[in-house]
Amino acid sequence: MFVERRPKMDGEAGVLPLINVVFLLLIFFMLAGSLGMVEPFEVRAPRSASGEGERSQRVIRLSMSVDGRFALDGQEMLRDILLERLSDMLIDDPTAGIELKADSRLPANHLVRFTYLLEQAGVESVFLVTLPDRP
Amino acid sequence: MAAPKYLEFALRPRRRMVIALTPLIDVVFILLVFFMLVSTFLDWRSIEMTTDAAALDSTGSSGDAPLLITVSSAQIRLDGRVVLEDDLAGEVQALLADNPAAIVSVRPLEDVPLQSLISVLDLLQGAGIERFRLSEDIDWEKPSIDPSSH
Repeated sequence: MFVERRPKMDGEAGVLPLINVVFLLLIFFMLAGSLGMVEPFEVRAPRSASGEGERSQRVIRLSMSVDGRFALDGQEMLRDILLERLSDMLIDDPTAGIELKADSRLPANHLVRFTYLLEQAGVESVFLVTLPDRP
Repeated sequence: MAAPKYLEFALRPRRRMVIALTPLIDVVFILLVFFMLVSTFLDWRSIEMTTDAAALDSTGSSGDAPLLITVSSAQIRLDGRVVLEDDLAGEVQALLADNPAAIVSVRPLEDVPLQSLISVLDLLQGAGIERFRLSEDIDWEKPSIDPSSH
């Protein structure tokens, strides 16, 4: 039986191919993936055929869970505290938009009511985060 | 006889590599795992939402009666009439042709989930109707979930 014999590499030189592969994987994940937000609760974004892609506008990220809990930039907080923080942030950057990731099973009226509050707090534009329809 | 200067480097006894590879691999692995866990490949999109709150504040100043679409779990109504999902876009377009300044107002009723509302918005957008506003069901009561209990 013929067994290929690899030339024996001395010491650490043997791990060089491994490092090559790991570096390639690392660069792939850094470039191809986008950093997601870590949410304190599960949020299933609704599916939609008509969402638009990336925007250049600076956005503040809000999340809303199925049972009506809120999070600002991945940090869970009560609604009124969130609105207060938000108006503080809007003083610094009045043109910032809101990216609202709400659960698809949430009662829609809950979202509409919250959007009213956001508009009262001085938010110019509210974007609802969606995922494209399954093909 | 001393070796010529340019040969000095080659003749020097081989030393250990300047950078030890094992710590390097450790760090690279940690970075790799971090990026694998944190990155998402989902294609996030977004829809702009506007409500009729501003219109409610200045009651009657805009003369156009909005077209009201109500979405309940069982049916879609356009200005009170039940419409089929497939006919909705056509009917709204016909009404907008008569009254181009009208704004479509979409109101979810009761506990209709967000996904149903989005589906109706998709129908409208599919028909080229870009201007819509969300409207709230005033009779809807917020479910008795106290967020402070978490």
